[in-house]
Amino acid sequence: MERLISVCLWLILALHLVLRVAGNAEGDALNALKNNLADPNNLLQDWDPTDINPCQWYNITCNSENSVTRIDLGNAKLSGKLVPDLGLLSNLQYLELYSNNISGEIPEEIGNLTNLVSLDLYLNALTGHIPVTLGNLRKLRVLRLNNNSLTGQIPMALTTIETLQLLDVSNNQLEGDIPVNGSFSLFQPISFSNNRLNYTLAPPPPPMPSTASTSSGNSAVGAIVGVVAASVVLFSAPAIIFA
Amino acid sequence: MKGSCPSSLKISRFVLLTRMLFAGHVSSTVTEDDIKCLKGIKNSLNDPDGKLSNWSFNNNSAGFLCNLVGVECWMEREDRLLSLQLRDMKLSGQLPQSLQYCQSLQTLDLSANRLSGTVPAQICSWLPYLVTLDLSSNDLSGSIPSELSNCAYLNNLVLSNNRLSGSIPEQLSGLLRLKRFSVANNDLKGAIPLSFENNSKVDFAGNSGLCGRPLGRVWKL
Repeated sequence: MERLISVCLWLILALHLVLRVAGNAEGDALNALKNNLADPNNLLQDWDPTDINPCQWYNITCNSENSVTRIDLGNAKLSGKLVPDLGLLSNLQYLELYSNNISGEIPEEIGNLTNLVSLDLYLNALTGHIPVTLGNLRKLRVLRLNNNSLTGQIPMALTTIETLQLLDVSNNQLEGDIPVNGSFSLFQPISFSNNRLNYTLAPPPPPMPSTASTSSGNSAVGAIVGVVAASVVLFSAPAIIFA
Repeated sequence: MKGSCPSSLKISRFVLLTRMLFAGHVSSTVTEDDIKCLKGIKNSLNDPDGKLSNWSFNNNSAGFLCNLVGVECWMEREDRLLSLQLRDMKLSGQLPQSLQYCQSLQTLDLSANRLSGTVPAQICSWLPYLVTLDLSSNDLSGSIPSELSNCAYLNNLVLSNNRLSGSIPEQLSGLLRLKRFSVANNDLKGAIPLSFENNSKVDFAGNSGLCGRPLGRVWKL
């Protein structure tokens, strides 16, 4: 009987230690992010990796199971780079890192965050492509990557995210076609302006007076594209009428 | 022939083609100024219940518009409206021209109010990037302007429960992204354009002079 009790006590202790380590996996991921960011305002100073979980940390929100659901670090004067470890935060719903000076690429591991509803990386210095893996974010409602230095194409996989309600990839250096199918039926030229995309039917809007974009002759280019597009439609007219 | 719904197949496609040539090339000549836009709206509309009482324009810090009732912005701290939703607020008056300064507007929902006057023909040159326009359950009259076909990105056009008259413009067939369309409960007449032949009856019901396939009424006696 005594032996049974002591075995049970050891098991409980071992389980407790295991749970402490497991509970720290999310804290470790956030700590990896902290180590990769420069934080001149010391907002992250209470991010202590020895804590049981990160749920008391500044601008971190958890659910009732102590799993991280929000990272709110917009307008925080952060610089440095994002880390693949962010992909481990499986219950993350809001990743708010907008209006900082974060550089480097968007880790493709962010595509693992299948509970994400809002991804706001706008107004940073991000480079590289928009990861195709973002197409795995089946609950995403808001995707704002605008005002960065992203290149490459807009992944077609994004058009299959049926929950997408707000998209902004404007003010980057994206190229290729603008998808109009699936959820992208909801998005119009404002979402894509100031890029190197193929603007076909409609010219993008003129630069907004309040933004810091330095683009110039978009309107003239847009008008020329518009005339060319109209000519193309005119010459395909017989096919349309008799279709 | 009196009392019949004419077949408009060829006309419909021709109109569709000519509209496609010109769709999406509407550009506004005014500069965007969302503060001017909302000030104008507040001044033009009657607000008996004070629903817009938090619309204050005194302390103008960057992005202050984004905290006003009914307003959603594209980004934090930038006064550029993504959507304006003022549903069920007993607002009366006519659709104000100052809307034209909210050029980045994607969604306009003024449903369930007491707005009167017409649907402005210029609304798509005011707001060329509209994706959702919901003016349902108001007191709007006059016809549905054919110029609505210039809102090339319109996915949702809801005009039900008003007093709109005349016919449904054929030009609306040129709205290639239109998914949700309702003109139920108005005073519309004539033939429903063929492009809507697969729409639900519910979208056209409550218009005694209207006929067409969705209503199961091709011949009206």
